[in-house]
Amino acid sequence: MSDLRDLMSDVTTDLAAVRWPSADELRGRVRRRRRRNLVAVAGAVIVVTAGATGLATAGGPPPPMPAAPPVSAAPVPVEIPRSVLLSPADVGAGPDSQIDGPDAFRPLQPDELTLCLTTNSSGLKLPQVPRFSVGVTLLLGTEASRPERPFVLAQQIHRYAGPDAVAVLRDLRSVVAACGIRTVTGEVTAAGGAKVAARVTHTWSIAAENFAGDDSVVVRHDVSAVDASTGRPLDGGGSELVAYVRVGDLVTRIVPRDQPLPELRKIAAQAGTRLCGASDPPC
Amino acid sequence: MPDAGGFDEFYQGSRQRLLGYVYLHTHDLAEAQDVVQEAYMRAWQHWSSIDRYEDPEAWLRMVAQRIAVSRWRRLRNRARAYLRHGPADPEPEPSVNTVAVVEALRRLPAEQRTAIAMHYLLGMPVADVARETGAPVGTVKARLHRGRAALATLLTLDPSEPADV
Repeated sequence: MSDLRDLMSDVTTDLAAVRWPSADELRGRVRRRRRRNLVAVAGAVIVVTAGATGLATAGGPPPPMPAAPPVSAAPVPVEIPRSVLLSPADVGAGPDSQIDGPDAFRPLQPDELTLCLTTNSSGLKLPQVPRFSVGVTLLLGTEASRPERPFVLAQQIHRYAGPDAVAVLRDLRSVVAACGIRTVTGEVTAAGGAKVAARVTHTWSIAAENFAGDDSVVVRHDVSAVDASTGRPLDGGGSELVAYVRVGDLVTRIVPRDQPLPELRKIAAQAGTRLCGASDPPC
Repeated sequence: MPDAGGFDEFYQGSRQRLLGYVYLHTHDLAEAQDVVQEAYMRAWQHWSSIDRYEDPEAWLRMVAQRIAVSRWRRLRNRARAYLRHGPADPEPEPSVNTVAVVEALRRLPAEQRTAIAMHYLLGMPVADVARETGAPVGTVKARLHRGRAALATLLTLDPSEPADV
């Protein structure tokens, strides 16, 4: 009879072959994360300072009226109410779907373009840091009982200053156009456990645009993998669609699980309508 | 300035144990690796405090379990990472025994799984398991007993083997 300790010893032995990042690599990741947070905090300080000025004068004598408001005055409101996010009922998700934490000033992260952005040499860059962000992840089931694949949709909304919101979708289009096709090679484990050298091709395109809000784009990212030596198709490819809608100074990014394009457009249009309640200028 | 040398030593000395512990809870090796690396990153962020703890590994286990709670997001992220970056370097396949143990543990209630993992994988005495899980020693013994009995029906085990104290 096998002893449980022997079986656990097998587990330990198996895991001994796992490759680990060095401690230096982990510290580097922490440093990079801190730098991103510092950028966000710098934005927060500006906003909080502006808010504190208002609070300090609230109980005292009225401040002297400025002769004329500066043209570059900070747009209000800055905060984005959570009520403008998509709700579980909008997408058939569970009633206690997870709400993301307070992630104000989180930059827009077009993950579907990461490979392109990290391998390009044309100076492409991510869009600007926003003035505020909120996000939600909607899931199937309830906290007590989730299905195996509960993810339905993730949405982030970002507020930008002045013309930056317009620039976000413009820059996205430029990036997608410049990405074109990227091919990476690597070893994969094929069906049956055999290791094969694979060639994975990534392509990006605009699947739809100008269908909602003041501006809108659906980015399509296709992946296909073939055996590098025979050209035989391998499992693991697929497509992802990500929708972006701008309304005034707000830009929302919507990542669905497997929504076909017409459904995603419908959800994105609904999300755009919701943004009207918080955008500057209002709809 | 945190003690990088002390962190390196801690990371190298404890990561294998933490990975095994998390793997038995997540049932997915790649996911367990993600969770463990994130836990060590958080440990480094607070290392000047954590390295003074009596049992930094206990802190790490607690953090790792919290990270693993939202596993659906990590599963999704990994699928998306494949789409973005192409296939990752393949990891060694777990052995038949390991797969069987992990599959069997999936069917146990969480508190029994935790007790089994702490006691049989990490080699923690029953009293330490009780302290870390906030349960009386008798309760931990009962969980180990029931867990072993359940595993005995799923694996070829001797259910009468007692837990060391």
